[in-house]
Amino acid sequence: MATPSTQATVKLQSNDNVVIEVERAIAERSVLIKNMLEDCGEVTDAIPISNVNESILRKVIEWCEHHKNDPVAAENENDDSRKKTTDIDEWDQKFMNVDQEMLFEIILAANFLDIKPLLDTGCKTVANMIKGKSPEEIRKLFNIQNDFTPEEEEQIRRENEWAEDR
Amino acid sequence: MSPSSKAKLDDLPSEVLLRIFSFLSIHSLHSVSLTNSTLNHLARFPQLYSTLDISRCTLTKATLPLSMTRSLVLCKRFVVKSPDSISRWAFASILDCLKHSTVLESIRLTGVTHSAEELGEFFEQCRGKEGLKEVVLSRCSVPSEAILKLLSNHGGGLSKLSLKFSEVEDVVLDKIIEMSTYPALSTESPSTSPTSLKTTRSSSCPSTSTVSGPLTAKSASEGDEPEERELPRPFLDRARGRNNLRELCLAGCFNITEDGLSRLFASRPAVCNIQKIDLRWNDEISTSWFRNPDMFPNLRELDLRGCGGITGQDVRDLRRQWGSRLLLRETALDDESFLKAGWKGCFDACESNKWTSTRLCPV
Repeated sequence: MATPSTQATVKLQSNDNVVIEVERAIAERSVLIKNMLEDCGEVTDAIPISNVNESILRKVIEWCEHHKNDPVAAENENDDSRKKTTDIDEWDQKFMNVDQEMLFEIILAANFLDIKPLLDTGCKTVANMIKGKSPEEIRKLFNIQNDFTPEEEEQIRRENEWAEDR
Repeated sequence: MSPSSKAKLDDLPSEVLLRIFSFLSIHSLHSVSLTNSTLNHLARFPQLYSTLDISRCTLTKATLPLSMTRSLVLCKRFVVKSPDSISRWAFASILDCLKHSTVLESIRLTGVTHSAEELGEFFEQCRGKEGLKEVVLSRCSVPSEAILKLLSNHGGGLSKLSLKFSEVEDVVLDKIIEMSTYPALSTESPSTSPTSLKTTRSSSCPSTSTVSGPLTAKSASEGDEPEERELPRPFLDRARGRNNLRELCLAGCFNITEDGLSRLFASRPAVCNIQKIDLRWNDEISTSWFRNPDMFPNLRELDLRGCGGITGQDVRDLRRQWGSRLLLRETALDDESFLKAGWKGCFDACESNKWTSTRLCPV
């Protein structure tokens, strides 16, 4: 008889071919994996996570382990409450205290695996880095190429004059 | 987190960048706009402006951008706090654009003192915003007539109404009662219902018939399950038809009278859905209105801080009747509680509410 959800662990395979075995409940923090397991029932083969390398995958699993007991946020969660705060809890702040390349890769992995709370934590971390900085500082911090002509830049500045912080 | 040679912000996919930007204020978005053309393009994405907080912006005739018109049409939450640098002209233009927003859910204005007239006009003209759920007008000197128009146009759909430090005449309170006691499915014309408002409504304005249609239809699908069991049928129909009010704040209002308030709190249809009532800094309060918990089946929080007319005995009575169901905030002190709290307690209570009350001094 088919007994769904009895499988205790699942295997995940990173794009550099490392197989990591994790508790099913932890892997299911990822909506992508959760849906896949629901659709396929018992999965004994390793699930290929094609966009994510081993070190990032381990990092993401570490996050899922720490947050495995969090209540699963209701879908269509109120935009208001999501937007209100850019506060990040202490553990997550430490977790996100990595070099920028890794931060971006964690965000990309969370986006791919559909782990909304991790994605939001990453996005908030980046948003907090942007806050209060001048355009020049933001360019420098994130390695952004200025492709404006001085005229274009002046025009945008004029258009947005009203939004300049006092 | 040091800059690395490989990680580039603008290499992230657009949907991720938009998610990052959704956590930024318009001031930060402005800085992002100036970094490069890709990010400039994304930072102007109108959805990012669904919550528009222009509190710290400088808006005058010279700086008001045309692009804002586009954003305002998609604005869901509009927030302004103490807008020293927003000229009356700019504010009027913004309200003019906002009239056309079809998705507006919330207006929170604090200390917008220069535009009472424009706000009045705005509330008179903006109809058909069924989504409008929350109106906070704190220290905005909006005249009672404007609030009456707001209530006639949107009253039944509002779940939160705050008129903190505003003028609230009895007609406003009566309007809240009136809108909750309209028979839900009746096509009865407004003139037959008891109204103190006839004078302020122009005869050519068919507000009731245009507004009650969609609201009635909507409320039928959004009825509140708990009340269904608790309320007798006629009350239920009325409450569903016209009144979604969950949160009412009348803190520090002026021109408010004990008569008006006692009528409001004696009207079961008007208060049956309310969960939170804030009546701070009103001396016209009587706790006898709240003696009967059955009148307020959903009330969970009552704020009576700084209300001079309330004694410690009143508060003890209330607590006995409500038990732990109600979160009661109060600063009432009488002889008995004074002896317990001592001068320091009284002083702290006074200080923390920036309020002095004759009741605090038993001597």
